[in-house]
Amino acid sequence: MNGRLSFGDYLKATGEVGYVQRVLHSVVEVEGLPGAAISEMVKFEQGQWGQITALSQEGVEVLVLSREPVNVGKRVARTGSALVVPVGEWCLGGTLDAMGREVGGGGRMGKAEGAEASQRIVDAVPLGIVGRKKISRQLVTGLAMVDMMVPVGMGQRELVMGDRKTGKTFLLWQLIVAQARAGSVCIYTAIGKKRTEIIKLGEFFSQMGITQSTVIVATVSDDSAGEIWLCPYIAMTIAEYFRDQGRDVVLVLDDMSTHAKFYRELSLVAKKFPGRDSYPGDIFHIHSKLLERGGNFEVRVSDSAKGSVETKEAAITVLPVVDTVQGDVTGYIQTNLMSMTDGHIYFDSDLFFKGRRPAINPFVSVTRVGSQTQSGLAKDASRVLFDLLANYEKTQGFLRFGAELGENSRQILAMGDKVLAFFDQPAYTAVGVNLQLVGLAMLVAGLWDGKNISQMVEAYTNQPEYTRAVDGAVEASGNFGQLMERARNVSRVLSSI
Amino acid sequence: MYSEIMARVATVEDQADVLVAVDAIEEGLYKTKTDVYQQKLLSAAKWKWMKMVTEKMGDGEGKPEWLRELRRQLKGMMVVRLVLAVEPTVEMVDRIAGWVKEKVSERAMVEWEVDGGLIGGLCLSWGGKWVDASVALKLEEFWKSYEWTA
Repeated sequence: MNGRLSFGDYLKATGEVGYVQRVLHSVVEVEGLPGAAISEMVKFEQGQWGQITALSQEGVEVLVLSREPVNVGKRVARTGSALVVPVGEWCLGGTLDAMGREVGGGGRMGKAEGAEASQRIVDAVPLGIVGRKKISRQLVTGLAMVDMMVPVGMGQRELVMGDRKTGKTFLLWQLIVAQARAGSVCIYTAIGKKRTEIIKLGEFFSQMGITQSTVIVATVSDDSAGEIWLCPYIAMTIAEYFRDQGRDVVLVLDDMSTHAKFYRELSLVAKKFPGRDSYPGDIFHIHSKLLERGGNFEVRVSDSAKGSVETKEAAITVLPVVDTVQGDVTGYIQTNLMSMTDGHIYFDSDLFFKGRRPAINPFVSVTRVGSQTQSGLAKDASRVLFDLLANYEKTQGFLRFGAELGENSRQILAMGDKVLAFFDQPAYTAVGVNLQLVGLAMLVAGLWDGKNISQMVEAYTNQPEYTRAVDGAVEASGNFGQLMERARNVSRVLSSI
Repeated sequence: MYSEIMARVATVEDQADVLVAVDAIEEGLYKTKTDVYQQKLLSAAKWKWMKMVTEKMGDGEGKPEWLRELRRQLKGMMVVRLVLAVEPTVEMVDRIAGWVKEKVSERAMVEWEVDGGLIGGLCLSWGGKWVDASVALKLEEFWKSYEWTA
């Protein structure tokens, strides 16, 4: 597939032609093209691109990847190649459409052409077991609640689910800021979103100064259903390019429920047999073939300057987002995605309306491989946290009956309030893992009320003495009890600054 | 019987006329729309086809089945599409159609369109295959292979 070749060039090269017989929304029935293959790209006489999705005796079924309409009777030519997407370092800082072209035509690819512009097949086969490594590094989100209670590993596929407007986007944006600053490439895939949301996202990245570590792959709601369906696959292909350069990638897919709806639309138009909730039978495969491309990998990276080849560990952490309706996690697409990911972070609308931030329900959230990336101390701290919050929830239950509380219950509630205050971080303030642990230890030891965490973050960033005290306390502690003892010293250092 | 009719169908316009004629005969058989029969007779071309179909159909039983089968076979005819540089004359279309019937299939018919960009010659497509025998292509190939000398 080459953007420079005309329709006539393709016609000449393949010697085959097809004629549009029927247009069914984004799906087109074409007569002819006897040598066509599944997934092959075709070009229409009017300039649109399409992908072959089914073959029959008379012709082929084509998914149109263009907003411009296709007319009946127009000619179609094969390209002889599968769908490819241009990739390169030029992608960083750009907003790309579902065909991998820069939105607004900023000319970034043109500038890089020759030097590093290359193309990758979109429908690539995922790396096998041999090329994969055990997930052993934690993906630090900077959010104490996630990092301590629902830790995510580099290369993990963690579903982010919850009702609309419960703070899912905030978590993702926070995570992207933290990871971009840590050197990862962050790819945000906006699937059928509003144009204003995408502009806002670009502006946010720019404000945070992380544009050069991010890529936005975006389709808006008025793009063709084919383009919207293709969007996450393009994003994954770009992620694989950066992985092969030895870089860690965080891929956010926002959101998969919209993706499923567009695929359902395409399938119904193409007369595929509808199944549960009218979704086609292959909806599971459509999502799982995408998500299985994520993981932690061992890649060989060549250094042209040194002339050597180095083996590196590089991860694609996939964070698909799925909307729930009134907190129902038993929906078809939701349960499908839960079964093909390594856990899920659940945003509870009840907690959100109670004013809890972030509104993550740690008791419903799951992380299957994240805990293996935590140190023994962090695991210990996580256990303490779960105990504290479980007691807090239980004691709150008694409050509803108007029971008179004893001293012990009052202490549990006070501690729970402190923990929740500790979790309610200021926007886009990333708290490092060591600081999270020390903060919790100070909190449990009664040395801190969980508020003004930004003061601690600032001291940790700018005061080397405090940084040393925090890191030293964490390194020297084997369990949470020891850390609580050392937290007194850290607290003294903080008050002396 | 069918093959004799199809051997005379040279273009997609002929095919459309025969189908209209078949419809009119069928409606006449069931006497559903008597005025339609009159309207169909207004076109001389369609009348020609109607006469031929009626003759081949005969007087025996099973006329509706015979007409249905004819319609099915007509719809299954192969289309050979032509792109020509100039508007063809009737004689030219007949000659091309004769060539197509002889070289491609007795059950093939011609559909043509005009594209001045071809300069001369023609482009031909059937069964999904595409052949470009235009002057424009020859010229393009010539200029590509031409060795420019000072």
